[in-house]
Amino acid sequence: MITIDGLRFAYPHGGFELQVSHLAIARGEHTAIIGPSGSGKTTLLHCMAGIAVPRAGEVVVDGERLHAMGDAARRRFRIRRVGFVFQDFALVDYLNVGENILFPYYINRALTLDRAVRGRAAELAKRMGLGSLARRNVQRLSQGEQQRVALCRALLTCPALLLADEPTGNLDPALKRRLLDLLVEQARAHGSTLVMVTHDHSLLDRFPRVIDLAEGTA
Amino acid sequence: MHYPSLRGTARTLFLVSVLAGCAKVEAPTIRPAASTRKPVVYAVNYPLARFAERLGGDAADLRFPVPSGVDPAFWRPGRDLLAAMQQADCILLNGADYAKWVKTSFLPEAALVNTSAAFAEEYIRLPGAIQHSHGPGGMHAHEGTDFNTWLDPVLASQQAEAVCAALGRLVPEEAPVFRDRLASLKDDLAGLDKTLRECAVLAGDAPLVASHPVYGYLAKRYGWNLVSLHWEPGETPPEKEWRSLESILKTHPAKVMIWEGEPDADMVNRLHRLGLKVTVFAPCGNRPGEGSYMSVMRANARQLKEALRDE
Amino acid sequence: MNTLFLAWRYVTGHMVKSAILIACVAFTAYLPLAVNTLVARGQAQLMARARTTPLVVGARGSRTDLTLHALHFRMKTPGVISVAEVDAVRSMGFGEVIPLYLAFTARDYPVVGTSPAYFKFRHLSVDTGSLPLLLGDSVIGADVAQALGLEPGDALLSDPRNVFDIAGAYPLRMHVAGILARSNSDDDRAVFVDVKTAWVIAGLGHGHQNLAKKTEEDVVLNRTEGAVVANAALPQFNEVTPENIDSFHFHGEPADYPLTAAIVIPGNAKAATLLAGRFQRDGAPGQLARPVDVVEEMMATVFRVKRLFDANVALVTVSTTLLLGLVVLLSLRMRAGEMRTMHRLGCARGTMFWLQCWEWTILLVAGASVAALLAALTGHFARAIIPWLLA
Repeated sequence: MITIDGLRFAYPHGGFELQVSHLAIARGEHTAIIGPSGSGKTTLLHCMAGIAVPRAGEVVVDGERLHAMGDAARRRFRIRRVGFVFQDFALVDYLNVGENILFPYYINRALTLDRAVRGRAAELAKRMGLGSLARRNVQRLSQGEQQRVALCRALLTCPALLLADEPTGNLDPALKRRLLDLLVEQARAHGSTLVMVTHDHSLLDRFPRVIDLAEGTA
Repeated sequence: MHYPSLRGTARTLFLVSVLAGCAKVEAPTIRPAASTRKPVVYAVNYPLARFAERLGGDAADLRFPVPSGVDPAFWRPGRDLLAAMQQADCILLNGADYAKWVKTSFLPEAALVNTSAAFAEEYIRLPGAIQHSHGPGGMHAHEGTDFNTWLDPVLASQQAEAVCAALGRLVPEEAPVFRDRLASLKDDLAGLDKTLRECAVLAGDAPLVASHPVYGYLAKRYGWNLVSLHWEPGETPPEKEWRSLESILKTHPAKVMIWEGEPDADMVNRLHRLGLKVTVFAPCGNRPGEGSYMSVMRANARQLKEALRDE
Repeated sequence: MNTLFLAWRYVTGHMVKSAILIACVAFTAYLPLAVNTLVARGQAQLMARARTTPLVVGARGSRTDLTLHALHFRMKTPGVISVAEVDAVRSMGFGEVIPLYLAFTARDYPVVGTSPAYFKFRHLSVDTGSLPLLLGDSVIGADVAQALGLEPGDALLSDPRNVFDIAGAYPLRMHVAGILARSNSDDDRAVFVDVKTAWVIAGLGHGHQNLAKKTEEDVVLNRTEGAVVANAALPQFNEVTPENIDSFHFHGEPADYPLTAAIVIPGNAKAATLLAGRFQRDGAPGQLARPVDVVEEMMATVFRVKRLFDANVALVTVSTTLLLGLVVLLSLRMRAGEMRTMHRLGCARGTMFWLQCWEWTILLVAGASVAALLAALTGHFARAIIPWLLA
């Protein structure tokens, strides 16, 4: 599913450089990426999503050669293939729960917002325990609820690749556990490949595979 | 301190009535709103109404609203009538402070015609007004004016001219007809004048007494030696008044007493005993029961002439 | 349409910010709209009244004051002319002359002393009741009746002050004889009385007890043959009633009585020209104004001032636009996180651009709508606002 070879990535003004000589993740595989702060976990996830473009090397996801694509092609790739759960949830503060879940459909013309999509969103929200909160503004939700909204949004497009960037970062242990259960369960239900960045080692037992990024290398 | 003279103050009062809006002779022609509608003309007393009737014929919708038996000089129209009069094309006023209600009524000044304006200088001021002052306004007096102008055929003739002119402005196309009729009316008034002149010759300087001070203009015109009382035809004056008359007769030995209306028989007898013969000269301010202004005036003059001849 | 929906949600989701921006746009647009509306309506109102009022006679002085006084009942006047002067105009026979004496107010509404011809001239009809019929009667404009809750049969007291400060002016309790039908003019906001009633308010005429009667000794200070001096307590009637109406009388020379203006309706153009000629001669006691000319002069001045205002509005519009541009930039900065999320979710840059466009379209349309609504309201109430501006 994901193959990375000879990846080198550096921010224009930063001294940090991420290097991954080889990394392969199979379809449907659930993988955790760990590493100290600043080790490039989020950058690696962004490279897998086509958000960040490596200076050198190859990133191939589901046969798509991201390193060789233009911005528009990578955007279309993200729309089609990727679901992303951000560390800061990245919810839109002026929309309610239902609208935030449907957000990708509002902003991407390639996605058609029809009755089926709305039904699926409602079903997802219900499964995530957000059924009664559909019309509530996301600013009035607890952190756990916000994270579940972010998860619903990532899952709505039934992505082949589900990327999660420290989704449990600010949650209490019980909530972390519940959310992780949901994430794994939903990824499994959708047959998605799950890659989750975390620095919380207590969660690693749920992942068959753990990649440790130390000093910017996998 | 300058106190306004009686004459000046009376002129003031007249001018107020003029301000109340007597139209000037030069006033623009006033036409009724719709050409098919007859102009509505009101008259404040019977003589003016009669003049307008004789001169105007059917050309104007003449209205004389004072009920019979009421002296038009002291009558006041009700609000409904005033509202109707506001719509009038012409309101014939006697002037000379007659019909005081006009001064306190809101009437269209262009419609008001003071028929005696031409001889305002000849108005007779009535004595007896009391000068008074109150507050910062200074001394002033509310005096009266003898308003019985129409009793003098010469003045009546001038009033008829004013009526004719007013009607002529309302219906210009009929003006020549009005003027023809005016000539006839003036002939009649001249005839009356002639009879009264004859009376004057008969009377000479002979003292006369009148029951009421309404004959001022006649006395002035024909040189009557007249003293007026304040007796009403239907009322028996108190003894004090009789004594006052007797006292007057001592210095003013009149043989004829002129009344506005026929006094009762007892009164006539008592006056006879004082050597006074009663003759009636009806002012005819309101519409007479019988006859018209001219017939009443002729009868007045004839009766007076007879009384003076018998003397 | 999804971007429009998001834009709408953004605008409604940030109510305070949106309201401030809408208000900013609205006020910037409203001010010139309102001024244009008021100037246009004001001009229309002034011109309509001026066109139907051929000539105005009054004291020498400001022609503008005289015209606004005679046509719009503004209390300021160049002064008074005498009845004799107005009578002189009438006696020239050039046309109808309607006297106006406007020196007092009643509950702050102008009390206009005039003649019945005024109502015919202005085509004013009575809605309820009647025109004034007697001294002390009044007929009030529709707005006066509405504002003061008056009906025929009620009374209205004149205000004690007056513009000429004539001694002895006591408030007069006027009888409301009728209410005029609405005419959408200054006549709706005036109290009309007989000019004689206005003189009574001015103290030039009054009614009191008959001093010749012996029964009124309590107010008589001194009685000599033919003269009576009464004390100041001699009650002057402050209301004309059927019982006391005959006691009302006027003092002084009626020809000297004051009028503040007179409307002249010349019979024809020649009469108007001849009349104007008479007033142009040296030594003419008053002045003759042609309201149409006066209003045109006034409007020329207004338009000169308005050009300055328009320049100012242009500058304000530029600065407001710059400020709004700054707000756009700051807004983009504030929403950088949201934009980043959209980008990460695959949103095209064009979509983000359109989102912004829609948002500003909504704000501008809302602002313009509010401005248009306010301008429409201003237009609706122009009839009430313009006299206030002229006062």
